[in-house]
Amino acid sequence: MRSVHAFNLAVERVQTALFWAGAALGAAVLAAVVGYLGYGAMAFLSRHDAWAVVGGMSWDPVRGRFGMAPFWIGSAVVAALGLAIAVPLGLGIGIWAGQGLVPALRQRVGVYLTVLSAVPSVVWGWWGLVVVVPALRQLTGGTGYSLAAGGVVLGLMVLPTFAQLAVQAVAAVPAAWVEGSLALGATMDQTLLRLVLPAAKAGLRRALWVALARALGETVAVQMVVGGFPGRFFGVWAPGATIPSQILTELPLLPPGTPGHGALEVMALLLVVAMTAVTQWAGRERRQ
Amino acid sequence: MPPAIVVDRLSVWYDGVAALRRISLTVPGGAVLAVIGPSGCGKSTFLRVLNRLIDRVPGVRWEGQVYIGEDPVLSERTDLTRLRQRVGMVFQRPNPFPFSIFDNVAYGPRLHGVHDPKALRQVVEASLKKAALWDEVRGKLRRPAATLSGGQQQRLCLARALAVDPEVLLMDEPTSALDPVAAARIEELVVELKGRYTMVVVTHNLQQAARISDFTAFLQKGELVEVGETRSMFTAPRDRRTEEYLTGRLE
Repeated sequence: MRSVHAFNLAVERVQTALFWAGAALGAAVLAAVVGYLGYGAMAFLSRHDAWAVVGGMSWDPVRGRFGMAPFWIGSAVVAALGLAIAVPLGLGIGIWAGQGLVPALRQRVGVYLTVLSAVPSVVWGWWGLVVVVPALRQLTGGTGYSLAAGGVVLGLMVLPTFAQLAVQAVAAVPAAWVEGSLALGATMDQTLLRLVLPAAKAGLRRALWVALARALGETVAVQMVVGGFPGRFFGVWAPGATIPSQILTELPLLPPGTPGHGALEVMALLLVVAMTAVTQWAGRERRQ
Repeated sequence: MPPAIVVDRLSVWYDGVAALRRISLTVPGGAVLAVIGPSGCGKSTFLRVLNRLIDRVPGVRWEGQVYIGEDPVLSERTDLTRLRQRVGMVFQRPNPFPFSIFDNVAYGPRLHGVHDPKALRQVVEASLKKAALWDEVRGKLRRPAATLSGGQQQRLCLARALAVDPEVLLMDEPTSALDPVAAARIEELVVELKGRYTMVVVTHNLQQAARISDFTAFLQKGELVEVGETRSMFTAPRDRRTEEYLTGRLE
């Protein structure tokens, strides 16, 4: 008996060591990525005026101008537009499926949304190329390639993810609460506004942060319709670029070793920091 | 004087399956009716007809009529908001909303247009006093309702129902999720509120029915087997099935 026990203890020690090793490896990879980016970024910033890089409005690497503010603005515009489309629609789906449907049908909707959220971003971008860009061309008279097109594509792409989380948040409000409200003479609308949405608030906020994180990080779908950067910020209906799409554009032009490569490392580092902040926020929402 | 409840040949079907068959009975204003019977006999259905919460069930159909005072309940023109304000309900499991104690009780009055802070404070205090909870929660009204014990939560739900000034109270096994002491407090409250509200209490607990009710209705398989004064029914049931149920030979 004793030898069996000793054997189990030994196995457990090995397991513990393996789990620790796995966790340590994950942390090490993350630290390596951030460290690599950080090293390059710091070296670059020490050679240039940091404010002119992070806050500058003009990007022209050939002439040594590395102002990346237009991409921040581009990212903000595209993400805001995307959320402006995804959040109202997703909230509608969440309320409809989360409270209006019986659980069996709700599950079907959930499956459907999962399938939609698994559609690769290149397909969304393709769809944007053949539908959104021509539509905007008709509407605004420009080329159609624009920050607005990026926002629309992003909005529809983020919608399934946001809607899925919204359905879960709204469905988590117990039927007993809804019945309690109705039994006091509340209409369905009053119950929704005064009880269901406040009760689902934490879950809905988390859905918003997750959607925002996806929107900030999305690269390919945006790149396909956003038009590329023309030098500085020309407005929502004009071609533009976001931080990730600009990195994708410039990486072949500024490979490691070239003087401008460090600017891309600054962008990537700041993007990672921004997305970490958003994810942290989402995590805090979950714990509440 | 609270209104009488008159149930006239009430039948209810779920997707064509009968849940209640031609129930007729009368609860005089201010009296307490206990509804007893085995699980699945239609007790909860009966209760949910009285405030039309039954409307939420897909595929439900009914016949017959129910009157609360002079007003028909099962009519196309019934104003559900007004009906449910007149007919309050306490559920089997305490279901406080995820708000503060104050906001739970103020929920109903706010729905019906009371927003003046002073008026709200008054109605919250009065309702909590009627539900015998005031002394335990005064000074803690901003705390989440979920911090209360199960029995306190159920009295909070009663206060919430009383805050919209109903005339009828429906209780769906209000003590089945509570410990004996908390259950006894709810029973005391029913006896105390008797006369001010017409009450219908569904219960699994026969002793409870005997202690708190003036009239008892015994349902079985959707049929009303017997209804009468509680005292005479418990001492001398007229129907053999009632006798068997009361003496524990049937469940």
